[in-house]
Amino acid sequence: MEIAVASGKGGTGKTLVATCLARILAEYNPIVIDADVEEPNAGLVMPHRVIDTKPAFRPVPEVDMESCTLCGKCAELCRFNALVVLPSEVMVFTELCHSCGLCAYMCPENAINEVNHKIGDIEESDLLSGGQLITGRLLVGEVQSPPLIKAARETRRQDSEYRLVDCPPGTTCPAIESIRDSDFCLLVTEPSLFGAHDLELSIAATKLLDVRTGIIINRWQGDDADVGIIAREQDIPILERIPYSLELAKSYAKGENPLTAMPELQVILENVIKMVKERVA
Amino acid sequence: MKNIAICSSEDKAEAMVDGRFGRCSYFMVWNPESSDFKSLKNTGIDAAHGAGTGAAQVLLQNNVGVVLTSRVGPKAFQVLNSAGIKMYQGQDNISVQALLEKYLAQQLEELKQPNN
Amino acid sequence: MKELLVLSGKGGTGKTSLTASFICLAEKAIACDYDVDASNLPILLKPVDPKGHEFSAGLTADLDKDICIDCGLCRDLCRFDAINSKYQISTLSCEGCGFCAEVCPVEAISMSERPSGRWFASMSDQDGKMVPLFYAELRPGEENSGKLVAQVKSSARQKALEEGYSLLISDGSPGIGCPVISSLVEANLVVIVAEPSVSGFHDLKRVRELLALRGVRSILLINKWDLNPEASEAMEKWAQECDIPCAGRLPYSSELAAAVAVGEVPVSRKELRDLILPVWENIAKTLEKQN
Ligand code: SF4
Ligand code: SF4
Repeated sequence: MEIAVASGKGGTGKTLVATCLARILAEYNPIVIDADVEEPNAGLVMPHRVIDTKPAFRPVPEVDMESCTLCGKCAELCRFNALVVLPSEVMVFTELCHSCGLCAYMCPENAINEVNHKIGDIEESDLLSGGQLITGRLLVGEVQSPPLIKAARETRRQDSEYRLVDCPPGTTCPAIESIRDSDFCLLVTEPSLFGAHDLELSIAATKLLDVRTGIIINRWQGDDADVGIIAREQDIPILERIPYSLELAKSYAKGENPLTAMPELQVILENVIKMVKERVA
Repeated sequence: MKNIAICSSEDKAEAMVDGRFGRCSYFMVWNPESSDFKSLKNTGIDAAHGAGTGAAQVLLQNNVGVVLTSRVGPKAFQVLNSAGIKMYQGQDNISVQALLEKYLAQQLEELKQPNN
Repeated sequence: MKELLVLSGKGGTGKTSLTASFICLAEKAIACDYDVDASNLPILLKPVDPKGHEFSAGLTADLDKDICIDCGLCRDLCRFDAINSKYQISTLSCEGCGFCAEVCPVEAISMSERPSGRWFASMSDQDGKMVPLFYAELRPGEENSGKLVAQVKSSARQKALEEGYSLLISDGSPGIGCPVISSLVEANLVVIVAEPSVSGFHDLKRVRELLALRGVRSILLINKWDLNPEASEAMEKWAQECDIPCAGRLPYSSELAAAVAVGEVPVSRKELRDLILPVWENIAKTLEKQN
């Protein structure tokens, strides 16, 4: 079963939930996939041992100037303006290229080859608590994160009954690519006006993907506030509430195990797993 | 002689300039031989990315040798520079015609690096 | 005209509440929200009578089934699995590359503009002081290319120019990708709001790496410093080594959380105003020195 842990915005406790779920499911050797490739943080709060680091690539065009006649076709066709044909050369702007392959296919002289361009690394680790951690790490300055997210999600050393995806925040392509095709999506939010607004957007995104969803309210202080209204309106269940705890915030800031700082978290998240299972079955 | 392109907000010489190289709506292209203006629509403007490289490609196809603009990004700069198109620092809140006159009076400074 | 941009590697650091506070403390400023993915500044600033404008970015493919001859070429060539076995094109997956439209032998596919969101020009009434506010809403599932951010920015700057504003205060978008890069254009000073935690420090370093790359000056503000005093100290020391001035530290405040939870700008409460004002004064002083 693959559970995506997502949120409309960062800082809601998405990584906290994903990593604590992994600790609780330790006996099943779960796989945690850190798909927040712009800012991968799961490894910072989960003790692990790196086993292997592999580069991830995407194809980009390379023009063979021997064959190129400077006809200008590729520049005319590329919808992303990634190629510019000058009087004596063709410039390729890799960061603009979306790796669609159109230019290489259409070049009348077959002068364009696609070559691998490194976009980041995929780091495979063993979690000391049990299971594995797969971290995608985007190179600074690289803008195309979806191919890296896809590669991270496809990486598996050994399969496990539980795969937990720590998704990038938001509702744009990277978040979509991380949630797509998972069995369940947990939306982590806060009981505030901000939280409710961001939640509404996340729900709209998950509806586009047709994935089952449930809400976890983090830093709960006795009141669902507007999050409750959104959940009712959108007909999405609130699975659990994690009470606000300064102790937890402090220990988490130090990178300690949250389940020690807040023992009831164990019960809460076990219940989440149970409810997710019922809904996926 | 090569043409001079000025980033413009509309397709006429009396219009106000648009400082952004890639995202300006039009280029007013002045031909020094005929002293005439012709307008070019900047087709790159709608692109999500790469407006600058797209716009540079348009100028390349129109025999432009000089661009007057307030701001040019690193990618467009690279293209224009490699193609030998010179860039001059434009001004905001001035008409296309007035900016051209300043250039002809040699009052504009050449841009030696991207500034956006 | 000067632009002060507030950034943080990740959300949840209190960036928006502080941005709103600075906007209220500044004598005269235009407010911008570049977090088009989940814009929260309007929740605090409560715009009146916002004027919305449609926004599109990139293209999307449409297939006319009446013309299609079921050759399958488009489906085979599309790298984004956007065309299914029934020749339905998923807008969500379509990257807008136009490969399919180019190769279709019977021209059954056309490319059209992709509606991607809306941007708004509005006014916010802060105790009688009218603050122009610019923000946007990206459609869920759309790419945040930075173009919408650029749109918000250019509309705001236009207004500043027309009405003689000399200061823009903007709430940046999270992360370090395209939208942030668009946010940075023409910014004079960046306030980095950071939380003293293991991941907060990590995010801080990544933001600073990006700023160094773009040559933009920054000033550090540590929020909720008392959550982890050692980490706060380490961050300040690091900042000093990188030649980043510190605007100050703010303690964790349940009062602030309570104000924001009900949609109030923190500085509308006296206790919070006293807390935030000195930090703002430091920032304003540093901004004055920038050009
Ligand atoms: S692969 Fe596609 S996006 Fe990349 S340069 Fe070629 S046509 Fe443009
Ligand atoms: S435009 Fe490109 S991404 Fe979209 S359906 Fe056609 S080939 Fe696929």
